[in-house]
Amino acid sequence: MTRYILRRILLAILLLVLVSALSYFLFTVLPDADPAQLGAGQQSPTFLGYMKEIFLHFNFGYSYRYHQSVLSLIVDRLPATLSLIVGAGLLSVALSIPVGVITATRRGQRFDRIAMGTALGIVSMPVFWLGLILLYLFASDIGKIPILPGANSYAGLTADPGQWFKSLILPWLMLGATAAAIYSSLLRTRMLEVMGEDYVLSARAKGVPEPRVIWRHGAGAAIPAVVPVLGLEIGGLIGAVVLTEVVFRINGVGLLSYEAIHHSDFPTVQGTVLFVTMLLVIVRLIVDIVYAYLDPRVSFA
Amino acid sequence: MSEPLLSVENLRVTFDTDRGVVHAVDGISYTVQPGRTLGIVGESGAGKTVSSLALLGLTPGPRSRTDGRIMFGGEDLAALDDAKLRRVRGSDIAMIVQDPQSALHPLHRVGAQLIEAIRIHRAVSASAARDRAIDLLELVGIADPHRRVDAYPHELSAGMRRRAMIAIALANGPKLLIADELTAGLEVTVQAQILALLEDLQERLELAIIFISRDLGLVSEIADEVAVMYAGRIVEQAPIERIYASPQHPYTWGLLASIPWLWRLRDDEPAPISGLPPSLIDRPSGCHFHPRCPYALDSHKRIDPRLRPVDGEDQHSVACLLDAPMRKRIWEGLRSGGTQQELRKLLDRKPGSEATPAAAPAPPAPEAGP
Amino acid sequence: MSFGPSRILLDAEASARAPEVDFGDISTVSPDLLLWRRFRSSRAAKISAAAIIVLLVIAILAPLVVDIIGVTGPNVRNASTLNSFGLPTGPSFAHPFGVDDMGRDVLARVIYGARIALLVGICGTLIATVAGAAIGLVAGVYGGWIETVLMGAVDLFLAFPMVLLGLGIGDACRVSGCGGGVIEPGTGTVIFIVVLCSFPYVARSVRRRVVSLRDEEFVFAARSLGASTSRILYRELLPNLMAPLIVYAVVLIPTNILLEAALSFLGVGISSPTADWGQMISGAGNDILSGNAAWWYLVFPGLALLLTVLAFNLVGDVLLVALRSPTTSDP
Repeated sequence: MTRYILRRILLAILLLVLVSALSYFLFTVLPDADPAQLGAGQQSPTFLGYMKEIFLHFNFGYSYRYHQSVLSLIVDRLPATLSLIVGAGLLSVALSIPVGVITATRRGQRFDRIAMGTALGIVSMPVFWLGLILLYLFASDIGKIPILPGANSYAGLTADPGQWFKSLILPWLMLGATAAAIYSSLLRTRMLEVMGEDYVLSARAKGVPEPRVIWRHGAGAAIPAVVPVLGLEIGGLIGAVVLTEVVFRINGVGLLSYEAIHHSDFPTVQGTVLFVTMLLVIVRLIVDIVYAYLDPRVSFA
Repeated sequence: MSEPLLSVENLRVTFDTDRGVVHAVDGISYTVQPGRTLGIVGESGAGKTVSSLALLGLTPGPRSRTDGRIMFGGEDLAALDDAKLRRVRGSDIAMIVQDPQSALHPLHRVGAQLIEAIRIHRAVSASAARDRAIDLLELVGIADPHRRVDAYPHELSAGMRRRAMIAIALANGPKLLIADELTAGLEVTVQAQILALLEDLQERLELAIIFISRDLGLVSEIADEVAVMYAGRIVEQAPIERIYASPQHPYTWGLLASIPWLWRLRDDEPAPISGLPPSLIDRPSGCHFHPRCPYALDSHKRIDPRLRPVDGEDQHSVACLLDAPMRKRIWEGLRSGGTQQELRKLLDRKPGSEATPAAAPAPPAPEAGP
Repeated sequence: MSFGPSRILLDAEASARAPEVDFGDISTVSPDLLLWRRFRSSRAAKISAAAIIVLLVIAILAPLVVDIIGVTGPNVRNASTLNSFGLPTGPSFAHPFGVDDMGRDVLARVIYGARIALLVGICGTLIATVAGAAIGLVAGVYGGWIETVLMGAVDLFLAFPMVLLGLGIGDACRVSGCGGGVIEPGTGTVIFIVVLCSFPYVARSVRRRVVSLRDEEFVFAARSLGASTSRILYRELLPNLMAPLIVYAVVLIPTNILLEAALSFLGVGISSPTADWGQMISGAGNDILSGNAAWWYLVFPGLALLLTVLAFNLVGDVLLVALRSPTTSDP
């Protein structure tokens, strides 16, 4: 087990280095524009210089607009993004597990068809559009049925907990429903496979009552199997997070990069992309390690 | 003959699919005596597994239908609802499912799976159940049970996993054990150990066993009685010695052809059964075996044979349209070196037989020696 | 909206495991034909496919369609349609979908927007599929360090979240293009981003399939008969990969359409005056948030996106199911 973890950590470190290298290539070498135009003037243009700045000095760039280092900008905005992600994540887990398991056990029946149909609809619509429609309908300042705080109403958790919570309800719903749409159908697929496995038949043959067969034997095997896919999908959902922040004007990392684009603050854009990607690598590493504990067979390989 | 432990009467299992009705099990009947072993042999798709699943009401899919009677302990299992059947499963009748590779839950420890089997049926404390689990592991010959009880299935060897599954099956002292392909995929030495274990347990615990396999040779090592299944039906049924002494059905002959030590008299083995298993939706007309039978006559395409007792042997039945003397001659011919083609001609020479026109008068069949 | 079609990866994984035995029916039909049969048996898939074809026709013939319907062109600013406050008017007989804040007809813009969505979605996906398949094939067939290097590069791209990568590249290439003039700002950049973001999925899935196939007997047989590696590639492997590749492409298209819309919404994709659904929603959003409840040019482009993506998703789902279990009924 420890060898497995060590190997994963080493691979992650290698990936971090390669990611920086690729971002150097994509953002500095590839564009035809000359660096001064991009506003990346102060950043050392050589490859080695670039890598040194990031790994030795944790310098992700300097924003001329805000007169701050990009890293400090990110750190300032991280709590907002985290509030959004954690809340939406919890909501999506709470939704997808029951929906995924129940639709699998009632395959083809009404609940399954409605749930999967809704999931398909949610996954097919642009998340930013959904957000705008929700605001249009429910935002307290401009909505038709003003019941929830609108965009731009985010307040920090420590500053105003009540407002923090209320302003995040709509964004959480939006993100959470989107994520749940994806996870529940993945879980459903996996669950259908698992329920056909021999250990489920064995459990029934032992006389285990059906609900326990479904949850302890079935879902118990299906849910861990979906976890590594989480690692892949998280990357995709970052996009949704960025869009949510933009729509609801939540002062997080996503909104930071959006504003940076519109103010030609290229170092911030570049630095943010790199930083978030590196963070993702670390998150996926943690997910892999957690998964190894859930499914001991993995570390055997 | 004492009261049978299990009496299956005219069991039928069908599945409703988009492509038609699958006749997985088509009216089979057998009995199992307490403490004795019945072997069920046949190729994939013959209905062996499905018929056993039907005993416990575990046939897969909502569109399956089970008919017939399954008498066990004075009750008809086929008529019981799921709640009552659950009490039988894992306690009075235990089943070890096919493909032991994945029959143990990969994410639960072996001990936990054993304990679960115990505590579902009896109200015992967790520690008492754990003690019993360790005893069971020892009973089935797993060394170092105190450590192994906390192992995950993938940490055990294939042979040990089978033993663990036997332990789970025995957890509540069943009277009948159904072992489906228990030794498939194991090395020969391990296979022999598992079989020896089963026999030992059978003696000690007065355990009746239904042993399902594709390998007639294997089954013969443990079975007292054998039922040969083909396309959902029993085509021959007899005590094990009779199957060897005078097998009656051409399919049985084909199965026996794969047992090397039977063929000492010859330099080579007789040809195996050619062709693929028949579709269970659209079964061949008449005798379901006729497309693959080297000795089929035209009339066999129209008449469906019933399972009938063989003359003079009340425990031996067969479903075949050839008459008994002819079968005997063909079998003895096969045993002493004749090929299928040669023996086929025996049939063609019979007056009034509707053999294929190409059959010219054939040379005399080789002498059927001892 | 999902920016990561991991369904494709799940499928490739499932195909690498042994298929189950059906009840006696052994099909000798080729996988492509099975796929087609399955597709035909789903009503939803057929309706969706028809809708896609209609959409394609409308997009290609956009000027003609706009003429026939009789609305003003997508870039024609007509100040008279603005009311006395200078705000746009809603749906009317002359402008069934209303007008936007510059007096441009929304219906015409929606129709022209289809062009961009389909162009980027389909072209980008095609390029990504071909590139990904080539990489996956080479990696799978040659194995060894070639495989390690290629797949490492693929995984490297996968590490970046799609939208952020798009933001970064979009912003960098916005000023004067990228890659020595090959990738131009605007549509070219967006297609480039789409390709970068989706080729890894195809590459990984193709490689997995190739790896599972290369251990199959028929490849071994071909090798032992002395067939060269490239012959194996073309004769044995490619035909087996055609059906999955088509499916992957179809499944990727909706993701890429949404990606393009998101990039345009965020301002790094297609910009004014070209009509683009994502960009229209962005404009509508700004207006709504500042209090002008002009719902029509928020709703209609969004609906267009939703229906288009939904149609592709339906077809893709049916095909994916068929890919996994071609001989049995649904999973």
